[in-house]
Amino acid sequence: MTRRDWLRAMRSELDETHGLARVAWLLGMAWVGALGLLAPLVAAGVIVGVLGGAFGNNEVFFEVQRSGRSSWIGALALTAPTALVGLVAAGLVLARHRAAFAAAAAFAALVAVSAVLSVTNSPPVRPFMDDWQQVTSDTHAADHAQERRVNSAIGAGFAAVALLLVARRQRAVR
Amino acid sequence: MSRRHSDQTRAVLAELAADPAVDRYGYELAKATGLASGTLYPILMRLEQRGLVEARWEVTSRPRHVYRLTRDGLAAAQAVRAGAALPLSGKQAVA
Repeated sequence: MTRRDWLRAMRSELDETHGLARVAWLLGMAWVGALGLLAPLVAAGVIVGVLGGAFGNNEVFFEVQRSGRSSWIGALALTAPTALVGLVAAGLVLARHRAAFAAAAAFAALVAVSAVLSVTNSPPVRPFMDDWQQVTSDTHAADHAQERRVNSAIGAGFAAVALLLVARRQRAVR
Repeated sequence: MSRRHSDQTRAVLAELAADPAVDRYGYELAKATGLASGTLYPILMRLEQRGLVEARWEVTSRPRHVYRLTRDGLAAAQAVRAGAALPLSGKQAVA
């Protein structure tokens, strides 16, 4: 049975309800409908977040790369696999694939490692951000470097946990 | 392999097991268990996906969805009543 069938089933019971019970029943229908949208929305959010992050940070990588320094390689080696695994995990959640939970767990683990290195400003993040502050024309580079490190870690952390939760839920009802 | 289930799921299984030969309506189950529809129906959906509950449309002048336990569902309800963990369906057990 599809979720639409279940909503039809709930609709067929609506005439039994009156007053507040009817309102509660309608809220329940809305909740059941929303639950079906949760996984696609979270997966789409991860895809948008990863692509948006890549688009928003590519200039930082290019600035360091054009300066002739090599610290961008270490930073890319840290972030690219995380982003790729995130895209794969989100795609598997969208497809309701049985490997979705394993992929989401791998994404969460990579994000956790990246987040710790970013927040603590440890290598390879620190040499990369230090290089960027030296070569960029951004007059507030120090502040922006810290914002990038912390905000990226927080955003990726929320995305990874949300994806892991919806993948776990998918696995539970499989 | 077995899986622990929530008190709400146990309540639904127990209610359906009270008279397993009788088809039950969703609203009737909601009233009997005290569960809101937004809680009851996700539970029914999971139980149906696991092969523990059979759901079908009752063909009358006003069609309604009815539910009853499958054989596996009855065994699960009896296990719950005995205080054991809820067994997974055969398909999940070999997965």
